[in-house]
Amino acid sequence: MTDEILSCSDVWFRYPDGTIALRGISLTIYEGEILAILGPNGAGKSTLLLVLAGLLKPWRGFVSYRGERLRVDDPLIRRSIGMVFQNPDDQLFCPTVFDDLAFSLRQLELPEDEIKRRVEEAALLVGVSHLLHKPPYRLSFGEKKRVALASILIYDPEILILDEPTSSMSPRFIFQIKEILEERRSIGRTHILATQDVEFAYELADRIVIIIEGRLRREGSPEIIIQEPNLLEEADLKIPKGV
Amino acid sequence: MRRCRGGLLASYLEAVSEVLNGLLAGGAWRLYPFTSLTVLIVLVVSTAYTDPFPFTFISMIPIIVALILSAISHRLAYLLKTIATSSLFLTVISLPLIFYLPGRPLVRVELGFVSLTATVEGLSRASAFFLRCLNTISISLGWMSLVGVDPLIEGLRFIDPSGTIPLLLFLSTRYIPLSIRETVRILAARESRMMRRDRGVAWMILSTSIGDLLLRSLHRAERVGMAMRARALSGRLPSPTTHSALSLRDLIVLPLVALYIVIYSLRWLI
Repeated sequence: MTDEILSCSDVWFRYPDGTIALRGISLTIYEGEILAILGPNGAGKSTLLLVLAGLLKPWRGFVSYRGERLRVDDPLIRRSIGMVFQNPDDQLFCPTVFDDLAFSLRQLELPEDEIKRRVEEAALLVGVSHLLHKPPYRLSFGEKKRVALASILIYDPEILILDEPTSSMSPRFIFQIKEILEERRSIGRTHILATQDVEFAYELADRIVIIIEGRLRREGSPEIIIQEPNLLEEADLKIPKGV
Repeated sequence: MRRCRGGLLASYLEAVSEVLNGLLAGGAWRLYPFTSLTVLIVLVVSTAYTDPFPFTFISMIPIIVALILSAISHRLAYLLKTIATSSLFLTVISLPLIFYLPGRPLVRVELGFVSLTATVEGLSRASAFFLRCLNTISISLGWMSLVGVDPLIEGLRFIDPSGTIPLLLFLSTRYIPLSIRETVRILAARESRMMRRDRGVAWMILSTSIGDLLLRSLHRAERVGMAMRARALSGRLPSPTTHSALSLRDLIVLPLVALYIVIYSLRWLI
């Protein structure tokens, strides 16, 4: 876990209404690690993820992927960085779950048999095999979240970005996500997740950063961060039980 | 989208979204995109330019063919819903023709100080217009339900090699159902906070929903656009379907379409 894979340097982001969501964030992400971004609502976590995924262009500063400046809509970046959005309704736009899972593979013009095989594998992994021919909007929130995750896992991106993966999810699904992420970490994949679930971050992450009002307040190992109750309180976070 | 509280409008919008989504879900037959599009154009043009009158069994052929096509693709319910809704709209549109055209008087209608006379010629023209439109809608929808919408969009690449029009259509077909569902949610959210039910409040809900809908649709479009870009692995915005080649099915379809034209448009076999 020593090679730098993604970094941002003095990144500022301002929305069209004038809200400054990020204020000079500099951060380095290393290959094979799980980085958890924690912070209160409106801290800028989701915006930071979108900037790191190359979907929003920073107003000031830049993002680098393997030492080179990240270019928006570069096919290499798209294949290397996958993002699971906070709201699955934003992510699922195809008429059936199958089509949604197959969407990215069809861009690669893979043979239909191969697409079918990979769709079935991904669906099995997150437990949505029985939903493949349903329209996504007919699914429950939890099912949509699963499909959204599968739609990214299907092309096995080098960096997986997850925005609030555990919010409103059942303990069983949270356990499944942990297993999936740990499995991916074991083969050297990198993960960045934004969450308010300190317990989840504590159990899974190699490193935690805390963002408050668009500024990076603290960075360190989970064991160190958890020892700072005042900081967690300031970030509107709950200290997990038994820690 | 769970069925929510709400009146006729919400139910109508939900049904539209359902039909669109059903059509987008892909057809029973996979044809070469160019064949799919060409056959659609031929069917629509030949039906739209054929006068269904004098009314015989032949006049109903497009609807019958459409019913068969949608039954093959298990989308009969969508076609029936669309026929029912289109009939309602077409009735409203064609109604003035009955009174507008001069001819033998059929019935006189007094509406306050306005006196309208329905004529036989007017009724005949209105019926012909109604049936011609309904036939065209049915046959196009029947064909779309058989082959799916995406191959038709893909077929446009033969006309527009730059891919701009297919891309715009592809995005529209994804955004329209999303916007409709957003509308239903907005209406449901407002209705759930209605303290009294009367027509005034219902109209207020509708009128104030429009601005909100526009803003939310834009926001949703932006988010969905980002999700599409995030998964557009080829680096360009997506192509709706995988590329398929000409097959035996394409060759089978052509004589069948020719037979349709011979029987319905040219009426040679009658």
